Amino acid sequence: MPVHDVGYRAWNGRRIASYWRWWTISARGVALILKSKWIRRMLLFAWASVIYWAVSFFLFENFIETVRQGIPGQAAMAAMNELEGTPIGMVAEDEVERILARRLEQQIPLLRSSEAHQLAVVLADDDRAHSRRVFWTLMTLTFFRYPQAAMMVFLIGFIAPSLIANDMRSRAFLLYFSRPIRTRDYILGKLGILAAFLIWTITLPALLLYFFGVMLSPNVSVVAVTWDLPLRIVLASVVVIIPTSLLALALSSLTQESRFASFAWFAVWGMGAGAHLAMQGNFMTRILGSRGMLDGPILPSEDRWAFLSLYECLGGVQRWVFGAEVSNRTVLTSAVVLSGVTVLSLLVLNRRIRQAVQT
Amino acid sequence: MATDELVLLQDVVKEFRGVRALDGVSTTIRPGITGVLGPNGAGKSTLIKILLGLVRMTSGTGHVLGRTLGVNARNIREVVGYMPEDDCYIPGLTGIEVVQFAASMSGIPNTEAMRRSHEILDFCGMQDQRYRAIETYSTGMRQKIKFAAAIVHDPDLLILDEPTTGLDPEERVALLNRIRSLADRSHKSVILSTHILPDVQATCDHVLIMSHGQIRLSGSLRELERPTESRLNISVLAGQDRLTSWLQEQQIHVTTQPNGLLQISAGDPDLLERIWQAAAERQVAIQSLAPSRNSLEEIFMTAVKEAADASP
Repeated sequence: MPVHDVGYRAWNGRRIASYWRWWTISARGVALILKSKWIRRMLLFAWASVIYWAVSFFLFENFIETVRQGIPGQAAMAAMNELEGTPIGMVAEDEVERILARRLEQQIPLLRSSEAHQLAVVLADDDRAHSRRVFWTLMTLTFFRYPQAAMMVFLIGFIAPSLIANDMRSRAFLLYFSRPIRTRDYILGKLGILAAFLIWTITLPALLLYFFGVMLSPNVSVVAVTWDLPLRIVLASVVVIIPTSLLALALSSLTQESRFASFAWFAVWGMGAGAHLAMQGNFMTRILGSRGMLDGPILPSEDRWAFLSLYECLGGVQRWVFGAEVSNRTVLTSAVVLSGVTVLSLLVLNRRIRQAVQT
Repeated sequence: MATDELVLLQDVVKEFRGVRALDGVSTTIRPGITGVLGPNGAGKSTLIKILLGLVRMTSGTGHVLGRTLGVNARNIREVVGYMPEDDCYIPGLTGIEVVQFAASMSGIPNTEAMRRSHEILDFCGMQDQRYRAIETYSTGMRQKIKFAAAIVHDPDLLILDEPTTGLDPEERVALLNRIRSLADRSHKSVILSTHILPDVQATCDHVLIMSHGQIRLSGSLRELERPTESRLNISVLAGQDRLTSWLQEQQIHVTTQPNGLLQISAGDPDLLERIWQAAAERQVAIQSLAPSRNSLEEIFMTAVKEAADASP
């Protein structure tokens, strides 16, 4: 045989197992998307908020170190020179809590009034372990709910609409399905692409935030109180990734024009949030009130209109995952909505892909 | 199922919302290159999709390379390569990436997939263009990439849907040579669905003609092209008019073919001798006198016309 034989040669190598074929679709999809300079920038930007949140952990841990262990309530205040000269036992408990809450708000900008008060109550009882638990949970939850949720909506809004719509337009379906690939492999492969980016945007920054929090804490005993947070972070990520990714893929499969899918994606979030705010009855207060949005709790424990908004549904279940206070009704409603979105999206995907292959 | 039967179909019916795309198709496809011919809407694409397991049969049974249709389509696609007619591609990928992706999806490990893709693109005559984004390719280049993607996993059976569409004459000949070489040297079997009859004549061993969802004719190309009735083709260098008028005097039906050949019925065993004698007497210069063969075009047109006449 010549050194450079350009004739056809047989291939007798060993093939990889068929149940890993979806991984090929995911890996190729991720590599293709990462060719975009803007996506790479967005992915880097998604990690920026970690620093800001990590500083809050540092500030809180320093704050509770100033409250000397074993000196509850008013004594703690005295130790902090808040009530200098006032005899111990002469200050009402709620006054102590109020002062602690104010100090917390001053020192940790990310903390809202309601959360600061919640923490102050625990701190006034000198339950430092519990206060750490409450603070770390709250901060991780807000990390999920605000910067990372916004990044998730924008990132998926840029990536997902073209994932199936482009395959439909360019008839790339035949490239996939003329191979030993099943519909479920294709869906799983596409889901894997979005999951990879969401893990990068949500899960890994949250885990890094936890790691930074531990590293920046003056007292390593914080690990004993918060050891389960990484597991909750992973679980909360799954809660976000599965319904949202499947919904985005279903929208993408409904059209050959990715911009329509993109519009539908943002409409789902925008209209859902708008409807939820309107039905809660405090729309004007929350939108226009100068302090309304800042003073309200991250999530009300009871939210009977959560089902209107995908964002609120995610919040309801995530709150439950993190062990924050939330009513069973809200969790149940939110879980049902998210499950419904997941099942409906799967049905749409399955039907649309089969139709496209057969025509 | 006999080992020399690549594809065996029995009474295959496929209905799409009450419309019969395939209507009781029964056939056997043997190793070699088989051309599937038929006008638009004949059911060729549906047949191919059924063979690939992309479309389920409404009724009937079938086997592809010993694997039962409708049971595990993925098993069939492990050993079948398919080059679709549609211009399917993934925007943003380079040519080499498309072929590597196809190889990986067929189960070839990543590094090996890249090596194999380069090897196949060399075979397909794709040079440095393989590193360009596929959306910048000409139709001919895309056809090459599709062909490379279809054979990269070394399939036993190759299904090519209109492979020469959009190719210039030189590229067309090169592709047909590659197909022929795959069959002759590497013992691959090929099903070639096309409208271009010269492609079938140039490459195929067997032909299958479809119309109105049914197989109207199938067999080896050599057999089909054998004359069904005794006819002679006469090529005349000089004195064609004199020979024509003599043939008419003898009450022999004569027709002039588009290529200038005279075609006559050759029922009389002495006719050949009489023609040579008449040509000598009338000073007609005959270049050749040979039995006529059915052209593929005639066979195709006859089969399709019969199908059209038979359909309600």
